[in-house]
Amino acid sequence: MRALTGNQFTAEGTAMRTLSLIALLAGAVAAASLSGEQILDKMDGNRDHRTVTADARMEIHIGDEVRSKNMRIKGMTDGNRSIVEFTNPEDEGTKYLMLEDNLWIYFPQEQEVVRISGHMLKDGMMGSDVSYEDALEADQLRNKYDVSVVGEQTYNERPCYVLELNATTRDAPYYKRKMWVDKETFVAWKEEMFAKSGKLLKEATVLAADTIGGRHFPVKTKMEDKLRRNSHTIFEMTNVELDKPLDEDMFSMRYLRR
Amino acid sequence: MRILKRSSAATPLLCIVLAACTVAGQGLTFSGSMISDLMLLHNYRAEAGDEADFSGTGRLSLTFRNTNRRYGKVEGDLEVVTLYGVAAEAAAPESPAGFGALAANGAARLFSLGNAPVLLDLRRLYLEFYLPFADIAVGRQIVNFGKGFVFSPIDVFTAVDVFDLDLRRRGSDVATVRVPFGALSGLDATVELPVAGNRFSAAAKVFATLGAYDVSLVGIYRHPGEDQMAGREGVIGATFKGDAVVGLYGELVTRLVEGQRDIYPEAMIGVDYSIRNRWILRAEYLYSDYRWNERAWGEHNAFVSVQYIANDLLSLSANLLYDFEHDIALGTALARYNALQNVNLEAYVRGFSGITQLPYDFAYGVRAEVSF
Repeated sequence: MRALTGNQFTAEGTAMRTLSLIALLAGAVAAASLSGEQILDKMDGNRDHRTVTADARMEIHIGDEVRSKNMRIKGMTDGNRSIVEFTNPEDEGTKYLMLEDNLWIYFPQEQEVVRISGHMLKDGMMGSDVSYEDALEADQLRNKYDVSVVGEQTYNERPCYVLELNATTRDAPYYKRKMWVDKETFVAWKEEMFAKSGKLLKEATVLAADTIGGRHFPVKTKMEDKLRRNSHTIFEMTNVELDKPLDEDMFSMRYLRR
Repeated sequence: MRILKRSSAATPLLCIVLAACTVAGQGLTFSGSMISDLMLLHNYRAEAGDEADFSGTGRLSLTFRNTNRRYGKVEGDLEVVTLYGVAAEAAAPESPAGFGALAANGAARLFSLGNAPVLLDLRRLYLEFYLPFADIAVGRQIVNFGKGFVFSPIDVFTAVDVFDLDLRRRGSDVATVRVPFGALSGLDATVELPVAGNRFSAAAKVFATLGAYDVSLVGIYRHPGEDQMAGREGVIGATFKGDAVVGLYGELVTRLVEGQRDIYPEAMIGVDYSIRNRWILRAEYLYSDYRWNERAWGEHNAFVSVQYIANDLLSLSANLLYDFEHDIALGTALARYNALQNVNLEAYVRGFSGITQLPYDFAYGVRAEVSF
């Protein structure tokens, strides 16, 4: 897997870069006429996987203080199912089970499963800037938003489409979103989320993306909750495996309590 | 010595587990924390005027579980507790029951270091194995049948310890079989291992998720054993938890006692809500018409709590528990600061009213916790 940051390719990727440029030129005409929906489809192509397993680390930055959480993630696209187990000592054994829009947490010390109420889904997960709602949201942007291409900009030396998404359903977590999507890799390098009042609520920045099985998969993301002062969360995934066979039984209450 | 008497098999089993860990050097994962509480207990209604006594605990909590849990699990929570000040004096064997029992919190005395008793609490120790059709667990476990944060009439095995600052539950010696019907549904059957006089309880819970609600039906049987004064008891109940603008949850329980013509209902309803990721509010109400045996709560009881999350490091909380019938109140105000990655500092004030085992009105305390 080669790491692509916003403005550099590794030395080993020179040949890939050349091929990418050729593909970029060959597709330039077609790319210029892409609609917002088509761009979203290509973004979804990067996430077109049946399963994902990964180790992850969440660094919560509060001023000069840093708190970290380590976890093991297993997810299945079908049914929007995932299970997360924390492995850092302070949260050892705590698990999350996400099924569609429902979330349960297992606390091993109390052997207790707690269903997270809907109003708490907007809270930060484990004290981070990433809300449960952000974590639950799957590839549903087209189902909840109208999307249009409002321009093109360069972001971190990468040519990008600028998309504007406006909510079409009441359960969309953000009223409006703005995305800077790489014209070549269709990675959304930057995203801004807005309230109905126009107030900027959150900003997500992809710091690194890996090429896995021909897909450009964001593996390091920075999330800032603009309502929290001087705070941001960096979420990094390692040992990412896509389409690895997973037992569907693990996304269940039974497995959660094991 | 209650803990050790009730589970005499636990001690050798624990020794075996720890010895195996020591010899093998792997196979078990350990985590835990060391918590120190220092308190000033204040009695402002003493006949001689204000009285204040020093108290405290040091608690080493050790949690272990096997690393490879694909086919089965061994898990335990062991706590070594030292008591200071009046808590140490009250927990002395010759001290009367009441405050001493609260101070010891069910732990068993191991030995004394000078004036400080050292207690051992085996909170959990159980094994679990996974058959294709069911998971089976035997040993000391925490059994959660209900949905309540504090009140849970359906939790006959392990109730919340309201004197515990963290509102933890104690373990029960049970055997549990969990049969899944689907991803979110199944049957949990639990039987308490018989104690002195062959008294035991058995329960079955069928649960499922319907829409945005988790629901369950519960049936419980309590056998009095050799206690001639008590009758057999049957309990049926239902629980739910879901969303209705606010988080909503509840339990409804009916008790039928042998030899009694009446049925005794109990009901709990609770709501929770959060505002702007800053305020978390919770309220619970318990109605209990359980007149047969000695009961923990009065007829009408309430619990309210509010938490303010100032930022990711600092939170403030307050809660109040009130038994209207017996005019008993227990309130706590607490500030918690995550000083370092694995270090938490807390300062708290607790108020007590109408609690006869506790000869104090207030407790002012500080707590330091280091996790590992």
